[in-house]
Amino acid sequence: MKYLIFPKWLILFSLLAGPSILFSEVSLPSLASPVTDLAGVLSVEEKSDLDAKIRKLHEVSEIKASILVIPSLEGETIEQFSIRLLEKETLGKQDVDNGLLITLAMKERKVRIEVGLGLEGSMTDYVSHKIINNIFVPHFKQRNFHGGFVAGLNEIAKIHGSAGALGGGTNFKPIKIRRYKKRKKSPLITIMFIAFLVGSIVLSGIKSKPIKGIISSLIFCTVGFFVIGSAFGLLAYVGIAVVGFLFGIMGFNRGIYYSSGGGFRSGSSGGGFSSGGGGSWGGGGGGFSGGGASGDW
Amino acid sequence: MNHYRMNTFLILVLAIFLTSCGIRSIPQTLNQVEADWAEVQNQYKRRTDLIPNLVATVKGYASHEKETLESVISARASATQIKIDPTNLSAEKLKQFSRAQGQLSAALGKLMMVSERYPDLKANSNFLALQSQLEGTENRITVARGRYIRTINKFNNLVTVFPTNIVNSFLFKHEKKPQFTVAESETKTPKVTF
Repeated sequence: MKYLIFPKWLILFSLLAGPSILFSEVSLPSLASPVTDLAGVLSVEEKSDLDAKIRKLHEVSEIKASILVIPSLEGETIEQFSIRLLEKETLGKQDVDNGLLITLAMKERKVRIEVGLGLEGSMTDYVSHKIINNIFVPHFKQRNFHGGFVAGLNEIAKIHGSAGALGGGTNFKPIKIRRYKKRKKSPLITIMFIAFLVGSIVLSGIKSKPIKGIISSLIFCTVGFFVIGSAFGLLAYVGIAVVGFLFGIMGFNRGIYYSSGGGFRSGSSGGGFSSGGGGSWGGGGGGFSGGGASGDW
Repeated sequence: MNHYRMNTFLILVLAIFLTSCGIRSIPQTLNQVEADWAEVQNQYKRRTDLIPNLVATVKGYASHEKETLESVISARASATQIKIDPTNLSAEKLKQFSRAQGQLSAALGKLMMVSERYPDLKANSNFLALQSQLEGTENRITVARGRYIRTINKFNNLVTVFPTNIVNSFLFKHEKKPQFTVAESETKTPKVTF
């Protein structure tokens, strides 16, 4: 029984340490630009050169490639890391699945090509295997990372009918495979809808604006909890509460419910759960099934 | 007025049920379970389809590794016999499936290790192609299994956790689905004596 009593400092510690433990799990980089070098092995010129080449490759062959250099895998296998990243940060167009990720891990001396579902016909595992062992490995062993990537990208372009250092060539359209449709439906619309129905009934008789605001933020939070449960973080709930409060004091009645539907959505982005990413290189929704190859260098 | 309030109330109840209580998400997730299971079987089938070619190639260079080759063939034969209908996933059947595929993994692992001893085989481009395909397929199996495990987890949560479990117990009456467990044969690394 003695052990059940927590000392105060332990509670304080767990309160302080809890969030940091939770957040240390999320260490996945984003694929916002074609080349992401987190280990600093590429110079600025090399990076912009690869960047241009990848964009060119996208133009000529529809392949959405990306290069990621990380310092360490932190105990994960490169296959695990690569697919985990791509499930969070998709690459390539949805339903075309034309993504291709080259991951290079410096500490473990590993390299992997992860091939999108739509490219598996042309970029077979053997092709990836050959690119890794015949092109990447010899270059990387001499620490010529830029040269390895350029040669690899040229080879990929060549395979897709665009030989000649990523300039011109025939257009290649990847095979369309329909699989793994993951529609991310925003729960916010649902929350708004129900909250408005409840709110318009409950608040129609109340005159005081602050009370309206508080009640409506409570309604929003409750509805939010029932719609998505505890999947929401605390911050998101604070966001919902604020949105709800604003609606309450702005006049939560049937008039606003019927008149302006569009206004609420724009207000919602303050909640912090929009996916966003207009100009980002990754995040198009392209699917991966684990195809490709890995190698040591 | 009273009539109007009643209508609003009904809409409200309907809205809550339609959006948050599993009336849509339970069947949707069930469909996802079936799709993910199909993908798991699809990737395992991809592997069994690779084996005849692989065995034939290895045989050409290492014909006296009869025992290893035969164990792969027999493991393949028993693995192909177990098929599971996604609508009827029982824990027992899943275990059987997992065990048979695990035995095939072990036999294949041994075959690949044995092939290391034959430099001519290792230089054969056909063998290299098959080897990389096999590696890729093993990884696809891992990914498909991982996705299946997550979907099952989601489904089991919907079926057992409030508030969706209420709708389930009234309307669908689905049971929890069995999860993949790692079979004994898979935890043991194949041993090769040289």
